[in-house]
Amino acid sequence: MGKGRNKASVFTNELKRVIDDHSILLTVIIAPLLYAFFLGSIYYKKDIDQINFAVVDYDNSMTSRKLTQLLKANPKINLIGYLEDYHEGVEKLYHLEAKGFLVFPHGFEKDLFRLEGAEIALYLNTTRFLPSNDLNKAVNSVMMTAGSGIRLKYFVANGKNPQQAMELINPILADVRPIYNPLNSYGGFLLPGLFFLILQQTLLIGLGESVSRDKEKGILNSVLVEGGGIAHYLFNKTAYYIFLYSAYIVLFMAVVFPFFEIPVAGAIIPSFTISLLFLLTIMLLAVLVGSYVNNQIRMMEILAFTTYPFFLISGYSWPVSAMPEPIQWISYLVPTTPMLEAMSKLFIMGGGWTDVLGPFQHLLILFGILYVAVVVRLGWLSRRSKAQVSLHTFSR
Amino acid sequence: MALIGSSKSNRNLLLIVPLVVFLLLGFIYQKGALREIPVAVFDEDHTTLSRTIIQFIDASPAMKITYSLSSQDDLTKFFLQHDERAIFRIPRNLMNDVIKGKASRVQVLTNSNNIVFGNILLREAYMISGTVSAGASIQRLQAEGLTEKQAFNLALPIRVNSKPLFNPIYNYLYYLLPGLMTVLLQMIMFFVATRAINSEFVNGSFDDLVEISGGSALNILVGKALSYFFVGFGLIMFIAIVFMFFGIPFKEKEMELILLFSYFILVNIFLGLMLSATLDDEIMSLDIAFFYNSPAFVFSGFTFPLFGMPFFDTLYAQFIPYTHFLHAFFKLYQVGTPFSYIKPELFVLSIFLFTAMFTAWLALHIRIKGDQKVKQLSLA
Repeated sequence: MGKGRNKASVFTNELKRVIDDHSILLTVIIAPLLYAFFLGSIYYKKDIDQINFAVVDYDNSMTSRKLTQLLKANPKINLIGYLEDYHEGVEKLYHLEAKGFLVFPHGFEKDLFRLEGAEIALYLNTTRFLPSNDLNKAVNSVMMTAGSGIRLKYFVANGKNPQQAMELINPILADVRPIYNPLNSYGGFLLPGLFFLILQQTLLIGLGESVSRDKEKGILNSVLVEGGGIAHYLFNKTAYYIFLYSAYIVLFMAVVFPFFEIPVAGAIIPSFTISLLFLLTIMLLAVLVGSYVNNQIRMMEILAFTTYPFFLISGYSWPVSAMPEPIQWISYLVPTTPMLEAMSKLFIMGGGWTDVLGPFQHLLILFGILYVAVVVRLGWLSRRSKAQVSLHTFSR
Repeated sequence: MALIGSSKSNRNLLLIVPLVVFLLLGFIYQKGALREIPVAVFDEDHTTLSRTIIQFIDASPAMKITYSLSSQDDLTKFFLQHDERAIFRIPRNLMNDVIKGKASRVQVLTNSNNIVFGNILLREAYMISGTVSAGASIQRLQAEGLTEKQAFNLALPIRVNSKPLFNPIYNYLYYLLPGLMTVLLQMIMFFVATRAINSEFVNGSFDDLVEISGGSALNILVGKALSYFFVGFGLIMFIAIVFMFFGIPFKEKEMELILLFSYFILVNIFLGLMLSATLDDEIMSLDIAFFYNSPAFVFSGFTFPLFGMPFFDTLYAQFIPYTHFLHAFFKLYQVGTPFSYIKPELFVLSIFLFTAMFTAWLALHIRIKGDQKVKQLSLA
């Protein structure tokens, strides 16, 4: 009974601390859900359409106008108008009003009908990759379809029946099937990683701030020296966060992912277990970093700048194998790297335990290293505090 | 200036963060483009045509065949157990069907949970199938009596000559690093200014500051802003060095970029000062700065365009200076437009600047007058 009451008081102690400190409260209670829905809403549509483009039609023929109509009918792109000449097109790009423009040269129709090779130029604004890629794809797809139509007419005119002609127009087609992200959409790719990053960063900053504040106010030293040692402090500090972030994992898996139509395809138990191990590893990292910074504000300032590096070095968007070797080593030391790999395999690809053994072991090793580092660090702080206390007593 | 130099926080933000983070991000994307993405082939046809397709795949600089599947492999679990990012499956009887005039399909399964790979593989798959298909068409058309040129022009009647401007090689280093560095620049300048005035209240040095400034809120703001601007300018120079170190071109727009960056940091300094003059609580003001600044990158339309976002998100994006700076930055740095093209963005940034300046001045002025009144009353 007594032990149970002790544990409950440990739990409520940290809860009180979180509620008393508006910064930590904001970071660990409000931010995870606010960020998940606020940032997630950006990618709610997951993909883009209505990409602005313009047409310069020097040919002004029936074919060029018909092709422009076909382009206009494509829902991915949006014709903002006909332009006088190439220079006006460049102006549109300069003002970032169009993502590209198409030029039908003089004699386009004539070249096409005489089978002399008709070419159109598509000028793309590649300052941002996503819209320019999609515009390029859309225009090429429309022109390929138009080309198929021309071949169809040729074969029919040369005595083939329409069914035969259909078979002949494209002898080999690519049947591309993007697995695990059927629309090949940006939102479908980014959102799962973003959600885990939100959990990681809010936990790292919130708990890191709490440990730094303990150090700043001398609570850390007094607990280490008088209050039951390292194990007591670690449990005292993290119990509430373990409970809170376990609840977040369940909430994200049950509500946030389905809300944004992100599949949780894998088995639930390994997904939960590995997510929990990840959060425990992050907690140790927060305690370790926090124990070096004895100012809450400074802690927040430092950790605020870890979000982008942690995410980008994890290999989620840019493969680790494409990074220089020393950066790859750093990448393997960051818990985000194995977690996002495991998350992809479990949540998105529907894998099970056997598929995530590698990242699980990786996380376990990082957990072990960080645990030892935390124990060594807190042990050193404890010894130093005890020495200071004895020196103080002796000098009196 | 002495205060900036003596503060550990400022040293972290102005020295360590840029040095470590900017260079780290640069090294992550140093390669610029993805090459030799591992892919697998599943050749069920084993003919000269299927071997030609395999040669095309291997010849692509973007891909490298690292695995050949057999009927023993489990396609449903392949991507879970292998590093290959795509499977090119060439069906049985492909060549026979092509000879017989029957359309056939090469199935390409891509692991698109990473869109960077997904997009490249999609593009390559269509290009290879298009080329092989055109080759087959040309042979058939020649057999029907057309000349080689006619056959070629009928196989590809409309050719789209795509001309990517401004970043023609789709280099990720040129694309992402400048964007990431500039959003961090905003955060750094905003953060340091956020504690510039309220830390004086906390440290009890506000009265001295008022005395030095002759009781003028404007003097305090100008003095603080100038000193932060000076260190911010150092950061701009550091960014220029990072550009040069990684060989990122900037279209000979050095002066224009320096002007734009200077204006941008000034806006952020004053936004930070506004917060700092309004809120006494340092942590609270830093929290607000953090929550305001941290989503700036994703809201700016940098990676996912504004026109693809829901209306309220696009509206919110307008209230972040980075969104407007980014437009102007891209115009100068990648497109290479003359300075006059960024007037609209400078105008919006000016609204931020003058609003922040006025609010900061008003908050500080009220505080100074209030303090003076309290002192007069206590003296009386």
